[in-house]
Amino acid sequence: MDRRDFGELVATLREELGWTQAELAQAASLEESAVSIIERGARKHFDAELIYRLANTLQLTTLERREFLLAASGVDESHARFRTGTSGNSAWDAERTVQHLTQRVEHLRFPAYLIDCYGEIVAANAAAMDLFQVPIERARELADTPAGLTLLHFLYGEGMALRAAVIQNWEGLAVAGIRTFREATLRYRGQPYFKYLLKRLRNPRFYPTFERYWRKSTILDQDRFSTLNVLSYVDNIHGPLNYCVSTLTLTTPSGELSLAHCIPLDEQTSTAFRAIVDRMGVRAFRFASWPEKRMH
Amino acid sequence: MNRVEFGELIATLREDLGWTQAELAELLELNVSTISNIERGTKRHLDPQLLFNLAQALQLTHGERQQLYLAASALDEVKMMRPTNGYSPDQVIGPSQKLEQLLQIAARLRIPCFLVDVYQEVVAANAIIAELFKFRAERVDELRKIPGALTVLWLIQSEGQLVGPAVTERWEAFAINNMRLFRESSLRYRARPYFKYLMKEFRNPTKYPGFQRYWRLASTLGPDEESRLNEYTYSHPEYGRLSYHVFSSLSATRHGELYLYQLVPTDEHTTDVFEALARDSGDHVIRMAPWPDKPME
Repeated sequence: MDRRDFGELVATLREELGWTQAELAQAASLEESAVSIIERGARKHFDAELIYRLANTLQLTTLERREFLLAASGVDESHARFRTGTSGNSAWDAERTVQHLTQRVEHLRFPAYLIDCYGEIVAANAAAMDLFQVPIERARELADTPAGLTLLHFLYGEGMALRAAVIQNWEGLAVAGIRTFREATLRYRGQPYFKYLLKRLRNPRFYPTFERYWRKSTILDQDRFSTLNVLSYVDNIHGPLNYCVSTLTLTTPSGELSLAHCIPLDEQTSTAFRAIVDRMGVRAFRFASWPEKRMH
Repeated sequence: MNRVEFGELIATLREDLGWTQAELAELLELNVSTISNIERGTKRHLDPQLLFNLAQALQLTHGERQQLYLAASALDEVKMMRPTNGYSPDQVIGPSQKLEQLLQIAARLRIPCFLVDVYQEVVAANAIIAELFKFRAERVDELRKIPGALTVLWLIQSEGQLVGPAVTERWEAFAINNMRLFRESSLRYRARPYFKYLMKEFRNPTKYPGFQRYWRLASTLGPDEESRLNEYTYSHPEYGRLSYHVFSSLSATRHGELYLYQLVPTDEHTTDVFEALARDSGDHVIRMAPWPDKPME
């Protein structure tokens, strides 16, 4: 990410908090002109203290600030990520990578899914869709709805079954969903496609409760330092569920893909997952397009 | 990591390739004095092009590069953590508290798992994996005395008769992959005395034949992200044919990352075996390598 993109990222993160440049400057003990220079991409050097102050002021969690530091290094990812040595990346094929990862998702015996750097579900196994209570056909239709294939849509979208199905600790699940989304997307928040998704999610007509939790997720004073996410809630079909979502992030020339899978934390959840797989079979489905993104 | 530590890191990476400052300078088309300034920590600003060229010249994999760029931010490890009060670095979740949280998760997971640190030393293993690989907790004290014996690769060599078939069927891929993980997770720590202490052992060909070769291979092979998804299928003498993927997830602490490796079943039989082990072996973990303090003999 070059300095210009980094500037746009800082501006986006500031705007997400609803602040003016003057307010950010004051909170970070900087001159207002310094903020403007950073956001225009005109600042060349970032020393440690400045980055630290920005990260704190922008209320980034530990996992988010790692992404922020990578963004601030200024190295252009398009060639930095992949060595141009002997093998190069000329042979890299996005479709082949997605197919390969979809196969992995298919064979896992737990609910598993693949999300991209915008938090969109690129593929999921049948067990995951059953756990989210989204029928496959319904999910296919959601491809035409902006943000329809994010986990957040399943959680916050009007008329989505999952929202009604969770009868205890919906809030824990809802906040975890947002925080995972925040980490996965951090370096892409300045991108038009992310802004397009977020604008939709923040529209109370479509997602009446999203805004409240979006705000809440940044000011929560506990940190997020681990990609492991322990979830504990009660739903209307399985009763109490206790599982850990583990996420493995793979870097590709078109941004990260994260493979998430749900590991049971007690015998009852093991049994529930087992029953889901027996009923749904071992299958996987492709959903959001990747890497091309289309805005409606 | 401040600039002085970053300088030491660059010097270590350069020496690992057997180069002089002059040789690195020539490759980067820079003055030797610039390299010398970087290594002494007196060059304050490292612009993006220089960082990229350094990573390129030092032949880093992209996982290693990410660690190098984090190191180049010049932020102290503790400042890479979010302060819970918003501003002050002394208000971060402490390492022992984080370790405790991870151990609790490891104890509850219904699949085999183990936790490793930046040196790929096994900090803890859950009861399921200990049972699967017949690892005896009594061995820990003994292994702690042997430098490097609690790292993943060498544990498998010395203790892993049962993992044997899984590994020997594809030894080359397994060894390279492990070495790549070792290289990537340790990158920011290469100039640390403990890393050098481990490397001194590993580089002894009578103790660790093949180390040098795989160490090199892991950095010179092309990028292959998909190989990060390691799949195993083999016959376990007691539990029959097992199929699983090995996944890892990252947790950030001021003493470096901790990675939880999980064996995730990919068929019905393996799912049953793991679930039966979870029922029988109880929900506890075996503490292995010391962390965060790393005593040297």
